[in-house]
Amino acid sequence: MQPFFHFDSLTNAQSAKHLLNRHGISAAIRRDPQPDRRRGCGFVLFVPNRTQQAQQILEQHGLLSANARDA
Amino acid sequence: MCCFGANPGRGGHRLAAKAGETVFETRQAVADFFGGMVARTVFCGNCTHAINLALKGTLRTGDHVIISSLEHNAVLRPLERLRAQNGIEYDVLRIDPQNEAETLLRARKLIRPETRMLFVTHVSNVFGTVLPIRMFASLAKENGLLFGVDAAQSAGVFDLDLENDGIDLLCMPGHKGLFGPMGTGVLLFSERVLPQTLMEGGTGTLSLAYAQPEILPERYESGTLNLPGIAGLGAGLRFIRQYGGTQAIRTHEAELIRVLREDLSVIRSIDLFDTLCGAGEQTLLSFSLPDKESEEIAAMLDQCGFAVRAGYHCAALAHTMHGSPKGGTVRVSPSVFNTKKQIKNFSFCMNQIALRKIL
Repeated sequence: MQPFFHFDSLTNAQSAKHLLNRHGISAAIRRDPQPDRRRGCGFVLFVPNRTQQAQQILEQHGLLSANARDA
Repeated sequence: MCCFGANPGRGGHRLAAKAGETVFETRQAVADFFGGMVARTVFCGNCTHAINLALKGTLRTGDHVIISSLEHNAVLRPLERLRAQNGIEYDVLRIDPQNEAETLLRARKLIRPETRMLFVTHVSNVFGTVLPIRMFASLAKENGLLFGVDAAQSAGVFDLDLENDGIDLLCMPGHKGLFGPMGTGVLLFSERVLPQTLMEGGTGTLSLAYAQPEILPERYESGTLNLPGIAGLGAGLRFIRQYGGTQAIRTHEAELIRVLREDLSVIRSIDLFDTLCGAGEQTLLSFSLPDKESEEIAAMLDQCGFAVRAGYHCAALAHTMHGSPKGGTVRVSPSVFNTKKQIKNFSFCMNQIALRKIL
Protein backbone atom coordinates (compact mmCIF):
# COMPACT_ATOMS: atom_id res chain seq x y z
CA MET A 1 0.00 0.00 0.00
CA GLN A 2 1.37 3.39 -0.96
CA PRO A 3 1.59 5.88 1.92
CA PHE A 4 -0.62 8.54 0.37
CA PHE A 5 -4.17 9.33 -0.66
CA HIS A 6 -5.28 11.51 -3.59
CA PHE A 7 -7.78 14.32 -3.16
CA ASP A 8 -9.31 16.57 -5.79
CA SER A 9 -10.30 19.07 -3.11
CA LEU A 10 -7.86 20.91 -0.87
CA THR A 11 -10.62 21.36 1.73
CA ASN A 12 -11.26 17.61 1.79
CA ALA A 13 -7.54 16.89 2.07
CA GLN A 14 -7.37 19.32 4.99
CA SER A 15 -10.42 17.77 6.64
CA ALA A 16 -8.75 14.37 6.27
CA LYS A 17 -5.48 15.64 7.70
CA HIS A 18 -7.16 17.16 10.75
CA LEU A 19 -9.20 14.02 11.30
CA LEU A 20 -6.08 11.84 11.24
CA ASN A 21 -4.26 14.26 13.51
CA ARG A 22 -7.09 13.92 16.04
CA HIS A 23 -6.44 10.16 15.94
CA GLY A 24 -2.75 10.75 16.56
CA ILE A 25 -1.71 9.99 13.00
CA SER A 26 0.68 12.40 11.31
CA ALA A 27 -0.21 13.50 7.80
CA ALA A 28 1.00 16.15 5.38
CA ILE A 29 -0.67 17.71 2.35
CA ARG A 30 1.27 18.14 -0.88
CA ARG A 31 0.35 19.14 -4.39
CA ASP A 32 -0.06 15.96 -6.40
CA PRO A 33 3.38 15.48 -8.03
CA GLN A 34 1.85 13.44 -10.85
CA PRO A 35 -1.43 15.09 -11.75
CA ASP A 36 -3.92 12.91 -13.52
CA ARG A 37 -3.63 13.56 -17.29
CA ARG A 38 -7.38 13.63 -17.70
CA ARG A 39 -8.35 15.48 -14.55
CA GLY A 40 -5.48 17.82 -13.78
CA CYS A 41 -4.22 19.25 -10.51
CA GLY A 42 -4.99 17.76 -7.15
CA PHE A 43 -3.53 17.06 -3.74
CA VAL A 44 -2.08 14.09 -1.93
CA LEU A 45 -2.23 13.40 1.76
CA PHE A 46 1.05 11.80 2.73
CA VAL A 47 0.65 9.37 5.63
CA PRO A 48 4.00 7.60 6.18
CA ASN A 49 2.95 5.67 9.27
CA ARG A 50 -0.21 3.72 10.18
CA THR A 51 -1.40 4.12 6.59
CA GLN A 52 -3.80 1.16 6.77
CA GLN A 53 -5.45 2.55 9.90
CA ALA A 54 -5.60 5.97 8.29
CA GLN A 55 -7.45 4.51 5.32
CA GLN A 56 -10.01 2.87 7.60
CA ILE A 57 -10.60 6.12 9.48
CA LEU A 58 -10.97 8.15 6.30
CA GLU A 59 -13.36 5.57 4.85
CA GLN A 60 -15.43 5.56 8.03
CA HIS A 61 -15.88 9.32 7.73
CA GLY A 62 -16.66 9.25 4.01
CA LEU A 63 -13.55 11.16 3.09
CA LEU A 64 -12.28 8.58 0.62
CA SER A 65 -15.47 8.36 -1.39
CA ALA A 66 -16.69 11.20 -3.57
CA ASN A 67 -13.73 13.47 -3.80
CA ALA A 68 -10.77 11.29 -3.06
CA ARG A 69 -8.96 8.83 -5.27
CA ASP A 70 -7.40 6.07 -3.22
CA ALA A 71 -3.77 5.33 -4.03
CA MET B 1 1.19 38.91 4.57
CA CYS B 2 4.95 38.43 4.96
CA CYS B 3 4.42 35.07 6.67
CA PHE B 4 1.91 33.44 4.34
CA GLY B 5 0.74 35.92 1.75
CA ALA B 6 0.34 33.34 -1.00
CA ASN B 7 -2.61 32.05 -2.99
CA PRO B 8 -4.25 29.22 -1.01
CA GLY B 9 -4.80 25.99 -2.92
CA ARG B 10 -2.73 26.96 -5.93
CA GLY B 11 1.04 26.68 -5.49
CA GLY B 12 2.59 23.80 -3.56
CA HIS B 13 5.17 25.85 -1.67
CA ARG B 14 5.15 26.41 2.06
CA LEU B 15 3.61 29.87 1.88
CA ALA B 16 0.68 28.53 -0.14
CA ALA B 17 0.31 25.61 2.27
CA LYS B 18 0.21 27.97 5.24
CA ALA B 19 -2.30 30.17 3.43
CA GLY B 20 -4.45 27.13 2.69
CA GLU B 21 -4.27 26.06 6.33
CA THR B 22 -5.42 29.51 7.45
CA VAL B 23 -8.42 29.38 5.12
CA PHE B 24 -9.30 25.91 6.34
CA GLU B 25 -9.02 26.83 10.02
CA THR B 26 -11.33 29.81 9.51
CA ARG B 27 -13.77 27.73 7.49
CA GLN B 28 -13.81 25.10 10.23
CA ALA B 29 -14.30 27.79 12.89
CA VAL B 30 -17.22 29.36 10.98
CA ALA B 31 -18.82 25.95 10.38
CA ASP B 32 -18.49 25.04 14.08
CA PHE B 33 -19.81 28.43 15.18
CA PHE B 34 -23.00 28.10 13.11
CA GLY B 35 -23.54 24.33 13.24
CA GLY B 36 -22.69 23.88 9.59
CA MET B 37 -20.52 21.54 7.55
CA VAL B 38 -17.05 22.53 6.37
CA ALA B 39 -17.80 21.54 2.78
CA ARG B 40 -20.99 23.63 2.84
CA THR B 41 -19.39 26.77 4.26
CA VAL B 42 -18.56 29.12 1.38
CA PHE B 43 -16.53 32.30 1.61
CA CYS B 44 -18.07 35.24 -0.24
CA GLY B 45 -17.16 38.87 -0.80
CA ASN B 46 -19.87 40.14 1.56
CA CYS B 47 -23.36 39.31 2.78
CA THR B 48 -24.97 40.63 -0.42
CA HIS B 49 -22.84 38.21 -2.44
CA ALA B 50 -23.92 35.35 -0.15
CA ILE B 51 -27.60 36.32 -0.54
CA ASN B 52 -27.27 36.53 -4.32
CA LEU B 53 -25.70 33.07 -4.38
CA ALA B 54 -28.43 31.70 -2.12
CA LEU B 55 -31.30 33.16 -4.15
CA LYS B 56 -30.03 33.02 -7.72
CA GLY B 57 -28.31 29.70 -7.18
CA THR B 58 -31.43 28.03 -5.84
CA LEU B 59 -34.53 29.56 -7.42
CA ARG B 60 -35.77 28.45 -10.83
CA THR B 61 -38.36 29.73 -13.30
CA GLY B 62 -41.85 29.33 -11.89
CA ASP B 63 -40.73 29.36 -8.26
CA HIS B 64 -42.43 31.58 -5.71
CA VAL B 65 -40.70 33.09 -2.68
CA ILE B 66 -42.00 34.71 0.48
CA ILE B 67 -39.88 37.44 2.06
CA SER B 68 -40.52 39.68 5.05
CA SER B 69 -41.44 43.35 5.03
CA LEU B 70 -38.17 44.12 6.80
CA GLU B 71 -35.80 42.88 4.09
CA HIS B 72 -32.73 44.79 3.01
CA ASN B 73 -32.31 45.68 -0.66
CA ALA B 74 -29.72 42.86 -0.76
CA VAL B 75 -32.73 40.52 -0.80
CA LEU B 76 -35.26 42.69 -2.59
CA ARG B 77 -33.16 43.67 -5.60
CA PRO B 78 -31.92 40.20 -6.58
CA LEU B 79 -35.54 39.05 -6.37
CA GLU B 80 -36.69 41.97 -8.51
CA ARG B 81 -34.17 40.91 -11.15
CA LEU B 82 -35.26 37.30 -10.90
CA ARG B 83 -38.87 38.42 -11.23
CA ALA B 84 -38.17 40.54 -14.28
CA GLN B 85 -35.84 38.16 -16.11
CA ASN B 86 -36.41 34.66 -14.78
CA GLY B 87 -40.13 34.37 -14.14
CA ILE B 88 -39.80 34.08 -10.39
CA GLU B 89 -42.50 35.58 -8.20
CA TYR B 90 -42.32 36.82 -4.66
CA ASP B 91 -44.71 38.06 -2.01
CA VAL B 92 -43.89 40.31 0.92
CA LEU B 93 -45.03 39.12 4.33
CA ARG B 94 -45.97 42.07 6.51
CA ILE B 95 -44.37 41.47 9.89
CA ASP B 96 -46.36 42.41 12.98
CA PRO B 97 -43.58 42.92 15.55
CA GLN B 98 -46.06 42.79 18.42
CA ASN B 99 -47.99 39.74 17.31
CA GLU B 100 -46.20 36.58 16.14
CA ALA B 101 -49.44 34.66 15.76
CA GLU B 102 -50.77 37.27 13.34
CA THR B 103 -47.49 37.19 11.40
CA LEU B 104 -47.71 33.41 11.17
CA LEU B 105 -51.30 33.60 9.97
CA ARG B 106 -50.31 36.07 7.26
CA ALA B 107 -47.41 33.85 6.22
CA ARG B 108 -49.64 30.80 5.87
CA LYS B 109 -51.99 32.74 3.59
CA LEU B 110 -49.13 33.57 1.23
CA ILE B 111 -48.04 29.97 0.64
CA ARG B 112 -48.95 28.64 -2.79
CA PRO B 113 -48.32 25.29 -4.48
CA GLU B 114 -45.33 26.78 -6.32
CA THR B 115 -43.81 28.40 -3.21
CA ARG B 116 -40.24 27.10 -2.95
CA MET B 117 -38.62 29.27 -0.34
CA LEU B 118 -39.21 31.43 2.71
CA PHE B 119 -36.40 33.95 3.10
CA VAL B 120 -36.29 36.43 5.98
CA THR B 121 -33.90 38.71 7.75
CA HIS B 122 -33.14 37.66 11.33
CA VAL B 123 -32.82 41.20 12.70
CA SER B 124 -34.06 44.31 10.90
CA ASN B 125 -31.20 46.66 10.06
CA VAL B 126 -33.60 49.59 10.43
CA PHE B 127 -35.63 48.94 13.57
CA GLY B 128 -33.76 46.13 15.31
CA THR B 129 -36.83 43.89 15.10
CA VAL B 130 -35.89 40.30 15.91
CA LEU B 131 -37.86 37.97 13.67
CA PRO B 132 -39.05 34.61 15.06
CA ILE B 133 -36.88 32.45 12.84
CA ARG B 134 -37.67 29.17 14.58
CA MET B 135 -41.36 29.80 13.96
CA PHE B 136 -40.61 30.45 10.31
CA ALA B 137 -38.38 27.37 10.13
CA SER B 138 -41.23 25.21 11.42
CA LEU B 139 -43.60 26.75 8.88
CA ALA B 140 -41.11 26.11 6.09
CA LYS B 141 -40.55 22.51 7.16
CA GLU B 142 -44.28 21.89 7.50
CA ASN B 143 -44.81 23.05 3.93
CA GLY B 144 -41.68 21.57 2.34
CA LEU B 145 -40.10 24.97 1.71
CA LEU B 146 -36.46 25.92 1.82
CA PHE B 147 -35.74 28.38 4.61
CA GLY B 148 -33.17 31.15 4.11
CA VAL B 149 -31.97 33.71 6.64
CA ASP B 150 -30.17 37.01 6.18
CA ALA B 151 -28.09 37.24 9.35
CA ALA B 152 -26.43 40.55 8.46
CA GLN B 153 -27.33 42.12 11.82
CA SER B 154 -27.42 38.99 13.95
CA ALA B 155 -24.40 36.78 13.14
CA GLY B 156 -22.09 36.94 16.13
CA VAL B 157 -24.70 38.69 18.28
CA PHE B 158 -27.56 36.18 18.36
CA ASP B 159 -27.23 32.42 18.56
CA LEU B 160 -27.67 30.78 15.19
CA ASP B 161 -27.35 27.12 14.34
CA LEU B 162 -28.06 25.77 10.88
CA GLU B 163 -29.24 22.41 12.20
CA ASN B 164 -31.07 23.40 15.39
CA ASP B 165 -32.73 26.45 13.84
CA GLY B 166 -33.84 24.56 10.72
CA ILE B 167 -32.08 26.91 8.32
CA ASP B 168 -31.19 25.84 4.77
CA LEU B 169 -29.38 28.95 3.59
CA LEU B 170 -27.63 31.22 6.08
CA CYS B 171 -26.02 34.42 4.77
CA MET B 172 -23.80 36.77 6.74
CA PRO B 173 -21.17 39.47 6.46
CA GLY B 174 -17.80 39.05 8.13
CA HIS B 175 -17.33 42.68 9.04
CA LYS B 176 -20.22 43.31 11.43
CA GLY B 177 -20.92 41.07 14.41
CA LEU B 178 -18.16 38.65 13.48
CA PHE B 179 -15.48 41.36 13.79
CA GLY B 180 -13.79 40.45 10.52
CA PRO B 181 -12.54 42.89 7.88
CA MET B 182 -14.80 44.45 5.29
CA GLY B 183 -14.99 42.47 2.07
CA THR B 184 -15.77 39.16 3.76
CA GLY B 185 -19.00 37.19 3.88
CA VAL B 186 -20.18 33.62 4.26
CA LEU B 187 -22.94 31.38 2.93
CA LEU B 188 -23.65 28.20 4.87
CA PHE B 189 -26.15 25.76 3.43
CA SER B 190 -27.77 22.55 4.56
CA GLU B 191 -27.79 19.14 2.90
CA ARG B 192 -31.29 19.87 1.59
CA VAL B 193 -30.01 22.36 -0.96
CA LEU B 194 -27.20 22.60 -3.50
CA PRO B 195 -27.10 26.05 -5.15
CA GLN B 196 -25.84 26.51 -8.69
CA THR B 197 -22.73 28.63 -9.07
CA LEU B 198 -22.88 32.37 -9.78
CA MET B 199 -19.35 32.37 -11.15
CA GLU B 200 -17.06 29.76 -12.69
CA GLY B 201 -13.30 29.62 -13.13
CA GLY B 202 -10.12 28.33 -11.56
CA THR B 203 -10.43 26.39 -8.33
CA GLY B 204 -6.87 25.08 -8.01
CA THR B 205 -8.07 21.54 -8.66
CA LEU B 206 -9.11 19.38 -11.64
CA SER B 207 -7.47 21.94 -13.89
CA LEU B 208 -7.93 19.93 -17.08
CA ALA B 209 -11.70 19.70 -16.70
CA TYR B 210 -13.56 22.14 -18.93
CA ALA B 211 -16.59 22.16 -16.68
CA GLN B 212 -16.69 23.66 -13.22
CA PRO B 213 -15.76 20.99 -10.64
CA GLU B 214 -18.63 19.89 -8.44
CA ILE B 215 -16.48 19.58 -5.35
CA LEU B 216 -17.69 21.51 -2.31
CA PRO B 217 -16.91 24.19 -1.29
CA GLU B 218 -14.39 24.93 -4.05
CA ARG B 219 -17.03 24.97 -6.80
CA TYR B 220 -18.35 28.26 -5.38
CA GLU B 221 -14.98 29.91 -4.79
CA SER B 222 -13.42 30.40 -8.22
CA GLY B 223 -10.64 32.94 -8.33
CA THR B 224 -8.26 34.05 -5.63
CA LEU B 225 -9.77 34.12 -2.16
CA ASN B 226 -9.54 37.15 0.13
CA LEU B 227 -6.88 35.57 2.34
CA PRO B 228 -6.22 38.65 4.52
CA GLY B 229 -9.93 39.07 5.04
CA ILE B 230 -10.51 35.41 5.85
CA ALA B 231 -7.58 35.39 8.30
CA GLY B 232 -9.10 38.49 9.93
CA LEU B 233 -12.48 36.79 10.10
CA GLY B 234 -10.84 33.89 11.93
CA ALA B 235 -9.37 36.36 14.41
CA GLY B 236 -12.82 37.93 14.81
CA LEU B 237 -14.33 34.59 15.77
CA ARG B 238 -11.58 34.04 18.32
CA PHE B 239 -12.35 37.47 19.76
CA ILE B 240 -16.02 36.56 20.19
CA ARG B 241 -15.09 33.42 22.09
CA GLN B 242 -12.61 35.33 24.27
CA TYR B 243 -15.25 37.95 25.04
CA GLY B 244 -17.64 35.28 26.30
CA GLY B 245 -19.65 34.40 23.21
CA THR B 246 -22.73 35.83 21.55
CA GLN B 247 -24.75 35.98 24.78
CA ALA B 248 -22.19 38.27 26.46
CA ILE B 249 -22.05 40.53 23.40
CA ARG B 250 -25.83 40.66 23.07
CA THR B 251 -26.29 41.43 26.76
CA HIS B 252 -23.86 44.34 26.54
CA GLU B 253 -25.36 45.81 23.37
CA ALA B 254 -28.95 45.35 24.58
CA GLU B 255 -28.12 47.10 27.85
CA LEU B 256 -26.68 50.07 25.95
CA ILE B 257 -29.84 50.27 23.85
CA ARG B 258 -32.01 50.03 26.97
CA VAL B 259 -30.18 53.01 28.47
CA LEU B 260 -30.37 54.93 25.21
CA ARG B 261 -34.09 54.27 24.81
CA GLU B 262 -34.70 55.37 28.38
CA ASP B 263 -32.74 58.59 27.86
CA LEU B 264 -34.22 59.46 24.47
CA SER B 265 -37.78 58.71 25.52
CA VAL B 266 -37.78 61.75 27.85
CA ILE B 267 -36.89 64.09 24.99
CA ARG B 268 -40.42 64.98 23.96
CA SER B 269 -39.81 65.86 20.33
CA ILE B 270 -38.05 62.58 19.47
CA ASP B 271 -40.01 59.83 17.75
CA LEU B 272 -38.64 56.45 18.76
CA PHE B 273 -39.39 53.47 16.57
CA ASP B 274 -39.20 51.07 19.45
CA THR B 275 -42.70 49.64 19.02
CA LEU B 276 -41.43 48.02 15.84
CA CYS B 277 -38.81 46.07 17.76
CA GLY B 278 -40.91 43.17 18.94
CA ALA B 279 -40.17 41.03 21.95
CA GLY B 280 -36.54 40.12 21.23
CA GLU B 281 -33.51 41.78 22.73
CA GLN B 282 -32.97 45.01 20.86
CA THR B 283 -29.41 45.77 19.79
CA LEU B 284 -30.06 48.86 17.67
CA LEU B 285 -32.49 51.77 17.79
CA SER B 286 -34.01 54.09 15.19
CA PHE B 287 -35.46 57.52 15.85
CA SER B 288 -36.33 60.79 14.14
CA LEU B 289 -37.13 64.42 14.90
CA PRO B 290 -40.21 65.86 13.20
CA ASP B 291 -38.57 69.13 12.21
CA LYS B 292 -35.18 67.81 11.04
CA GLU B 293 -34.09 65.48 8.29
CA SER B 294 -32.33 62.39 9.61
CA GLU B 295 -29.24 63.16 7.52
CA GLU B 296 -29.08 66.58 9.13
CA ILE B 297 -29.22 65.05 12.61
CA ALA B 298 -26.51 62.55 11.67
CA ALA B 299 -24.26 65.37 10.45
CA MET B 300 -24.73 67.18 13.77
CA LEU B 301 -23.98 64.00 15.70
CA ASP B 302 -20.85 63.55 13.60
CA GLN B 303 -19.72 66.99 14.77
CA CYS B 304 -20.22 65.71 18.32
CA GLY B 305 -18.08 62.64 17.58
CA PHE B 306 -20.81 60.05 16.99
CA ALA B 307 -20.99 57.88 13.86
CA VAL B 308 -24.58 56.91 13.07
CA ARG B 309 -26.38 55.85 9.90
CA ALA B 310 -29.24 58.02 8.68
CA GLY B 311 -31.68 57.88 5.79
CA TYR B 312 -33.29 54.76 4.38
CA HIS B 313 -30.57 52.24 5.25
CA CYS B 314 -30.79 50.45 1.86
CA ALA B 315 -34.08 49.03 3.09
CA ALA B 316 -36.92 50.26 0.90
CA LEU B 317 -39.41 47.69 2.15
CA ALA B 318 -38.82 48.35 5.84
CA HIS B 319 -39.28 52.10 5.47
CA THR B 320 -42.22 52.07 3.09
CA MET B 321 -44.17 49.27 4.77
CA HIS B 322 -43.61 50.27 8.37
CA GLY B 323 -44.24 53.98 8.06
CA SER B 324 -41.00 55.77 8.79
CA PRO B 325 -41.00 59.53 8.11
CA LYS B 326 -39.81 61.36 5.01
CA GLY B 327 -36.02 61.38 5.07
CA GLY B 328 -35.90 58.10 6.98
CA THR B 329 -34.54 57.59 10.46
CA VAL B 330 -31.34 57.90 12.47
CA ARG B 331 -30.06 54.49 13.55
CA VAL B 332 -27.80 53.89 16.53
CA SER B 333 -26.04 50.54 16.50
CA PRO B 334 -23.56 50.16 19.39
CA SER B 335 -20.96 47.43 19.67
CA VAL B 336 -19.08 45.76 22.51
CA PHE B 337 -16.52 48.55 22.36
CA ASN B 338 -19.07 51.21 23.30
CA THR B 339 -19.76 52.22 26.92
CA LYS B 340 -22.66 53.56 28.94
CA LYS B 341 -20.76 56.80 29.34
CA GLN B 342 -20.72 57.21 25.56
CA ILE B 343 -24.45 56.50 25.43
CA LYS B 344 -25.07 59.14 28.11
CA ASN B 345 -22.99 61.65 26.13
CA PHE B 346 -24.92 60.74 23.00
CA SER B 347 -28.25 61.34 24.75
CA PHE B 348 -27.00 64.68 26.04
CA CYS B 349 -26.02 65.74 22.50
CA MET B 350 -29.36 64.60 21.10
CA ASN B 351 -31.13 66.65 23.73
CA GLN B 352 -29.09 69.68 22.70
CA ILE B 353 -29.93 69.04 19.04
CA ALA B 354 -33.64 68.66 19.85
CA LEU B 355 -33.55 71.91 21.83
CA ARG B 356 -31.75 73.56 18.89
CA LYS B 357 -28.75 74.36 21.06
CA ILE B 358 -26.54 72.65 18.46
CA LEU B 359 -27.09 74.05 14.99
